Parts: sequence; structure tokens; C-alpha cells
Amino acid sequence: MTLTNKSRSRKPLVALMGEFSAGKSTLANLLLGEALSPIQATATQVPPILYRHGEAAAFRTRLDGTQEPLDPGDLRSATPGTTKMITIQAEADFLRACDLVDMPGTSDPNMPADTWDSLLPEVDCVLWCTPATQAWRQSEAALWERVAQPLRDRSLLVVTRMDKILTERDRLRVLRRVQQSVDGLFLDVLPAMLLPALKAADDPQVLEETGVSALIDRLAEVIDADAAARQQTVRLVEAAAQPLTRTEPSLVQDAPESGAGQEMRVMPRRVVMDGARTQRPRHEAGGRA
Amino acid sequence: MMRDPTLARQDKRHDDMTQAAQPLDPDAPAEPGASIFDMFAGLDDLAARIDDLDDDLAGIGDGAHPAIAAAVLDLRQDLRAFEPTVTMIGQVKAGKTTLVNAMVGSPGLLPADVNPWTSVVTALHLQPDLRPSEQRSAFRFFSNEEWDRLITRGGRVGELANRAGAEDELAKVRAQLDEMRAKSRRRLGRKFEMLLGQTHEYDMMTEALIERYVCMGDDFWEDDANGVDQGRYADITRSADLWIGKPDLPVNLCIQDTPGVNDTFMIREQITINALRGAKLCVMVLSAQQALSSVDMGLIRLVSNVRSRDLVIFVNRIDELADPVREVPQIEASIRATLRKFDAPTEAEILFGSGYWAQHAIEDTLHDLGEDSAEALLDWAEAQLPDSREGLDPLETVWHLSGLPALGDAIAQRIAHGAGARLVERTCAARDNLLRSQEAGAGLAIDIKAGVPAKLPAPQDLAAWFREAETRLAADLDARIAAGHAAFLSRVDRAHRTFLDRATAALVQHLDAWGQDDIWTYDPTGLRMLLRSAYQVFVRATAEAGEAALHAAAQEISGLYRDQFGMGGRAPAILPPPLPSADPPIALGQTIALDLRGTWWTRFWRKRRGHQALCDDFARLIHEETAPIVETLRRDNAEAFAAAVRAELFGFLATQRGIVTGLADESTPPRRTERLASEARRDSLTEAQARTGT
Ligand SMILES: Nc1nc2c(ncn2[C@@H]2O[C@H](COP(=O)(O)OP(=O)(O)OP(=O)(O)O)[C@@H](O)[C@H]2O)c(=O)[nH]1
Ligand SMILES: Nc1nc2c(ncn2[C@@H]2O[C@H](COP(=O)(O)OP(=O)(O)OP(=O)(O)O)[C@@H](O)[C@H]2O)c(=O)[nH]1
Ligand SMILES: [Mg+2]
Ligand SMILES: [Mg+2]
Repeated sequence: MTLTNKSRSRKPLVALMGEFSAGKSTLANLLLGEALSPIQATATQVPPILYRHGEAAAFRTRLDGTQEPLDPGDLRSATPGTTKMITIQAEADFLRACDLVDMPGTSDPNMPADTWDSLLPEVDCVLWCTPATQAWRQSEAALWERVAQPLRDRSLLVVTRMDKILTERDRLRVLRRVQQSVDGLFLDVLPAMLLPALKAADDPQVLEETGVSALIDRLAEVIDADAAARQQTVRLVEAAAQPLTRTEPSLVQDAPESGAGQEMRVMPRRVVMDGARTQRPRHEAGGRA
Repeated sequence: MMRDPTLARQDKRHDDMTQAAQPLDPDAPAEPGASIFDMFAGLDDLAARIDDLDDDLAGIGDGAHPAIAAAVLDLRQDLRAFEPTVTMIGQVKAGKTTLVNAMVGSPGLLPADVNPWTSVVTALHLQPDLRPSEQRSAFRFFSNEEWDRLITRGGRVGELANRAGAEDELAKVRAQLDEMRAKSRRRLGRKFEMLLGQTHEYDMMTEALIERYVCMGDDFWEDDANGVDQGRYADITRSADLWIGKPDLPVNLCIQDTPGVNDTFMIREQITINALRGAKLCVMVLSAQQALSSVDMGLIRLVSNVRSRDLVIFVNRIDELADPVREVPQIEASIRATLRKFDAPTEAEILFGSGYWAQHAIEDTLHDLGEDSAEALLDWAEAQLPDSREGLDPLETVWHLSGLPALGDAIAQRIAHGAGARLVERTCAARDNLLRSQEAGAGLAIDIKAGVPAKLPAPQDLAAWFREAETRLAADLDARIAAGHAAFLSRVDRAHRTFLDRATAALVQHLDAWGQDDIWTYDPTGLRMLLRSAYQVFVRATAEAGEAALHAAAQEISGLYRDQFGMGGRAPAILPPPLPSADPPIALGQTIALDLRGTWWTRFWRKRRGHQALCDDFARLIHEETAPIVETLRRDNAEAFAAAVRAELFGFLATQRGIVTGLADESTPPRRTERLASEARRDSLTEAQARTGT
């Protein structure tokens, strides 16, 4: 499916992907600062949900491409059998910087395996969610292998459910193992405790401890770099998307003042903190006090 | 509290806790019935029946004619050797090993971890009568050929699960295997070549020892806490066997732990799939966090040709759910809906629980559960426990809530109605025959004492009689089996052709209607059904032939007593033994290209140009894809069943020959008779084995 100009802004598109129940929607709600994506213990089975900035509204795109308004409280009436995509407009700060799409989970025997094939070319950064308790299995690795290298180089692996690994030592061991097995497949691997972060609502310290602040910072870097690259593309026709290196936080701090860059403070409402961003927790740790 | 001192002594961490519980004689099996962590009480009835049978047999053997006593010994030996097996399968990190440890009552026995860990199919032989000093372990290494076969005969879960890239997986597995070999060679040095094909045996069974063989070990983690030996031999170990004393257990039980499937290190998956071939009773462990993914469905498809009542689904890790009371019913509904939708065994029992809770109950460390797990436990307890259970011992309550007792019941029930029932039936038939033979023998003895001119056949005449009967009955049986086999093959052939005709017709129709740009798929269920029914027809025919042969053998032996022993109407009516059961056609679960709706098929389709080329290649493809399945069905199922039926006939004749020969040799002193009888039995057994090629 191609996202029409009508549903897409010019902003970078961040996609939440991963197997079902990996925590994609939980992360979406965390980023948006609002419980917009449906969350449940079993596979959710809704079409892709595209979030973009704007006055609160929702509509669905039918399989034939036509659109109709949708009750945001009743997203489930739009089933994958009838709906290509759900679009939700919200005033979330996060959406000033990018559009976000919450994809249906993979490995659900009840869902077609190829929902995202057509969307992928439009995606600028993937947050692939994998649960720490069964992290990075072959069914994920095999899918991810089919993603083009430039996109992989701009994507992050989020190891969710880190709160379910009980000791610091084991958290590190899981992270080490995952890092080792995805070497070169992602820009970075980041641990996160999404449910505790969601429960603690606006507590900045909890966001730090759960790894969510670090995740948002890292995402901001990627989006900024992407936006910068876009600007260059406008100016220099030959410029191709460059793989990012791991040490370029400057783009976040010194965001360009004009164009797409001026919207670049990628912070959900609750994460904006006065100058606290320098004290990021170490990525690997994500420990809970 | 750890109740099993035999295991606790191996477990350093529990040493202090269990010291007090140790009996004075360290080598005496602990008193049974002491533990609240029993979960196989459901086997008590079976154990009682087996005990009764054993008593019956002991009674028969007591002071019996040596020939009968020898047969009794054999039967009692069979009873003692009875060991039903349950195999734990599931995705990597579902919690299989943790559950196995809980089932054994020894957390920490087998190594479990947060990272992919179990790398070897590990069989725990739990035996009520085994003394602690008799506990032992054996670790078998792969031979080079076995390593190679691992790949060629391995499973294709990836394809069954429609996993992306499944078509290229075999090449990847091969590369991983090569790398693994190289790693082992580096790690083990020159010793490496010598180890292959060997077995390490120990007269003990400790955690430190086990750890060297059955778990992956970290190669990315330097830490004092992990022994350098952890996983030292894991890569080259093919199987591990541990013999463990378990006094509370009603009967022997073998629990098999397997490496998880869907790990990126796919060799673990191959090892498991290979091990599933012999599995009769499986527990499929799912993680509540992601119950029934497409990979789980792939695994279920693979074992679904096992009778579905022999599959138990255990949804583990419910303690990790945010709200188990609300979510467990949702998960159950979603599992059932998916099973139904995909024609999977819907009557499979679905249980919920937590190996983690079980582990903490056994260790008596409920205070260590962690906040979330403890909260989930309290909620779950409130919803699950009737008021009447209030005031129970907290450990017992948690044990109950962990789902382990329900799992034990489910397993016990299936054993009692499956393997256990078959054992009882067989032994009863054999016991009744012994009684009848014994009575006949007693009659003969009275006749002899009373001076009635007994007409005892000479040993060589009897031997000739049995040889003749065996040759004739076997030839007859073989002829009928051969006919059935031919019919089976032609039925399979017809199934092929019918399927191919229909599929090709549909293909042509599709090409006419839509052209070649639209990808066509065709459901191979029909082919499987035809093949399955061909096999079933064969099994029925073979069983009928076997039954007839055994029946004739029994009758002729009765006739032998009647005519050769001159017993007339007092001759015993010898009963034929029950037939062995046929193995389920697991091979039919294998994927063929038509199952693959994904990239493989698209690629096949896109490569072909022209209708005729498509049709030809399609026919060839179907043939190539199904030939191995049919071959396995023929070799591992049809022929194996025929061989089992044949062996039953020979075994029966051998036993009877031993008894009859013994009874006829009344004049010889008992010791000699015993030897003769057992020699006769051994001779016929060797003969039987030679014939069946086992
Ligand atoms: N404890 C814990 N639970 C989590 C975490 N992330 C997600 N969950 C839980 O996991 C379950 C599934 O989360 P979802 O966000 O719906 O997962 P999803 O990836 O969107 O799933 P689908 O939409 O079905 O593909 C929910 O019960 C969440 O509460 C985490 O980091 N920690
Ligand atoms: N919270 C929770 N943790 C569990 C449960 N069962 C197992 N675990 C933990 O999950 C991890 C994996 O358990 P294992 O028993 O090693 O899993 P496995 O299925 O044998 O894994 P492989 O052998 O690698 O396939 C360990 O850290 C266990 O302590 C459970 O019911 N609840
Ligand atoms: Mg979701
Ligand atoms: Mg394991």
C-alpha cells in the first residue's frame, strides 16, 4: 500500500515492528503520551495504525483505497479483512518530529505474513520490538534479513519486557547475547521496561531507569539525522542515505533551525525535562533501582 | 523444602536445608508418600495393577516348573522395565527445562537460563526403586555420520511454520554445523576426533557434571560464576541419560527435555525434530506472553499425527502476565480458535501454570518471587482456589496453583490409558496362558505319579514340531503381509496419480482463466488423506493377518497338548497375545512445497515460462516432494509394523516352546530342565531376530 499524500506528512516515518505481543503498542502509547493503540495479552489483529500530528481525529482506509471516519474508541471495528490502514491524528509532541506507524505483529498464524511488505519502502526507521524473555528468535531474524541494509542501519532493536528479567547480571547477559547475534543488523540495541514506564506516568526518574529516556534520545538522533539527510537530498541530488555511526549525538543538541529541522525536538510531553538530558543512563544497563 | 534427599545431596545450595531431612542410612530409598510435590499420583492405580500382576506372577512362579518359572521371570522383568516416556517440546525459552526440574522436584538439576540454553535431548529416567548410590549418567557423542544425518533427516519446522527464508534454512544450518564443528575442534583439541561416537558414563549424577554436556554455555561472557567447563562437550553430545531415584513415583517414568525450536542457532531445532520421531506423548510448552505463534503451529503440525489425545499443551509463565485472571481465559480462547481454524488437534488438553511458581514452592523461597510475580500469584489464588482450600499449607497451595499437579494428572491419565493399559493387557494374557500351562503340567505330573502311561513327546520331536509350525505360520503371515504391502504400494501410487491429475487439472484451469501472472496454490490436504488411508488399510490388513497367525499358533499349541501329550479334553486352551499397536504416521506431517504459500512457491512459479513447462515441472515436483514421505511411511511405519507383528508371533512361539519343552522333559532334574528351557527360548529368539532383521 502506498501512503497517499493525504495521509502522509513530509516527516520521517517511524515504524513499530516485531512479533505479536512484543510491546509495539505499549511503546507507541508511551511515545504518544496517550493510550491510543489497543493493548492486550493475545494478538491484537488490527491493521497498521498510522499516527500523525494534528487535531484529534481518526479514519480508516478501506481495501479499495477509499476512506471514512472512524470512532477512535472503536478501532477494532476496522478489521484487517476490510481495512488497509487506520490513521489517527493526535496533538502529541512526539508527532511533531515524525509520523509513527504501529504495525500488526508478525508470527501470528491468523494474520497474513506480508502486511508490511508494501509499507516498508516508505519507512525511515524501524523500532523492532523483541521481548527479553524470548529475545531475537529465528522467526524474527529471518524476516529482518529481508529488510534492506540502509533501513537496517537506521533502525533500533528494542528489547522489551526487561523488567521480567530479574537480576542485573541476567539483564546484561541477555543484552550481550542479543547484541552479539544481531551484530551489524541494527544501529543499536536498547533495553526497555515498557510497562513499568507506562505505569509510572510522568516520573522522569522512572523513564530513566526503565531505559525509555535513552531509547527516546537515540530515536531522536536517528530522526534528526534522517531529517538532515533529507534536507541534503533536496540540495544534493546525488546524496544517498548514509549509514549513521554510533557517535553523533550532536544532531540532537544542535538541531537545525529551519525547514523540517525546526520541529525536531522529539520529546513526548512527559519526557521533556529541563536540561536533564545529559544524564542519560547507559544503554546496556537499563537497570531498575 | 527439598524432599528428595538423594538429589539434594548433589545440590550444593540446598545442602544445609536438607541435612536434617536425610535418613540415617544414606543409601536407603526415602519413604514414599512424604512429599507434597507428588504430581503423578494419577499413576497409583496403574502401579497397583502392575503390583497385582507381579504378585500373580510371583505366585505362579513360586515352586513352579522351571520352564514356567523362567517365563515368569521374563514377564516380571518386562513389568519392571516398563518406562513410559513424556517429551517436552516448545520454543526456545518457553520454560521446558524449568518445568522438567519441577517435575523431578529438583530445581537446578538441569541447567536453565535466560538465554538459549538446552542443547541436548536429555532423558531423565525416574525410578522409584533406584538407590542413591545407583544413580548414574551417560552422555553419548555424535558420530560424524550422525552429524551429517542430523541435517538430511532433520525437520523442517521453518517451512511448516511458514517462517521467512525457510527455503534457504538448510544451507544455513549446514553452515552453522560446520562452524560448530570447527569450534569443538578448537575447544577440545586432538581429543575431538577420538570422542566422536563415544559415550561418557559416570556412576553419579551431579549438576556440575550435567552442565558440561547439555547446555550451550556462554561464549560472550567472562565471569567467575560460570565454570570454564560449562557446555564443554555440549556441541558434540548427542544425547544425555540420567538415572534418578524417585521413591514417591508409582512407576518408572522417563521425562525428556529437548532443545527449544526457533532459536537462531537452528541446529538445536534439528536435534529436537529428530528426537520427536520416537515420541509418543508430548507436552508442548508455550509462553503465556505469546501463546501459539506460527512457529508453535508448525511444531503442532509436526506432531499432529501423533494421536491428538497424546498432546498436552502447557501454557507456562502465567506469572508474567499483567493480569492472569483476566488474560488466561482470553489466551485459552485464542488458542482454541487458532487450533480450530487450522484443523489442529482441538481436543488437546490446555493447561496453564508457572514453572517459576513451582520452583519457588519446592525451594520454599516464596519470599523471593519478586513483586510482580507475587502479585500475580495472589490474584490467581483468589480466582482459582475454592474457599475450602483456605488454610492449606502455603507451599502446597502455590504448588497447586503452579499447574504442575494438573500437568501430572494429564500425563498420568494418558499413560494409564495408553502404554500402561497395553502393558497390563499383554501381561494378563501371558499370565493366563502360564496358568493354563501350569495346570496342564500339573495334570501331567499327576498322571505320571499315578502311573498313567504318559505319552511325552521326545525333545527332538517337539523341536521339529515347533520348527514346522513356525515356518508354516510365518510363511503364511509373510504372504498375507506381502499382499497387503503390494496393495499398500499400489494404493499409494493411485493416491499420487489421483492427486496429481486433480491438481494438474486445476492448474490448467487456472492458467486458462487467469494466465501465468496470477500465482496459483493448491491444498495438499487431499493427498495426505489418501496416503493416510492407504496406511490405515495396510495396518488393518496386517493386524488381521497377525491376529489370524497368533490365533492359529495358540490353537495348534493347544492341539499339541491334546494330541502329543495325550491330554485330550484336559488340554489347556492357550490364548494368543494382543497385537502390538502401529506407530502413527508422523511422516505425513512433513511439509511439501504445496504447503508453502510464501516465497518458495512464488519463486517456483515465477521461474517457469509456458503452461506445459509448468505442468511438467509441477508433476515432477509433486513426485520429488512426496517420494521421501511415502518412503518413510513405507519403511518406518508399514514395514516396522509388519516386523513388530512378525516378532510377536516368533516371541509367542518361543515362549511356548520353552514351556512345552520343559514340561515334556519331566524326567530331567530341574536345573537341567531350566537350562534346556532357557536355551530353547534363546534359540528361538535368536532365530526370530534373525528373521525379522532386528
Ligand atoms: N512487564 C512488561 N510487559 C510488557 C512490556 N511491553 C509490553 N508488555 C505487555 O505485553 C502485552 C502485549 O503488549 P502490546 O503492546 O499489545 O504488544 P504488541 O506488540 O502491540 O502486540 P500486537 O499488536 O498483538 O502485535 C501487554 O500485556 C503489555 O502490557 C514490558 O516492557 N514489560
Ligand atoms: N517468570 C517465569 N520465569 C520462568 C518460568 N519458567 C521458566 N522461567 C525462566 O525462564 C528462563 C528460561 O527457562 P528454561 O527452563 O531455561 O527454558 P527452556 O524452554 O528450557 O529454554 P531452552 O532450553 O533454551 O529452549 C529461566 O530463566 C527460567 O527461570 C515461569 O513460569 N515464569
Ligand atoms: Mg499492538
Ligand atoms: Mg531448556
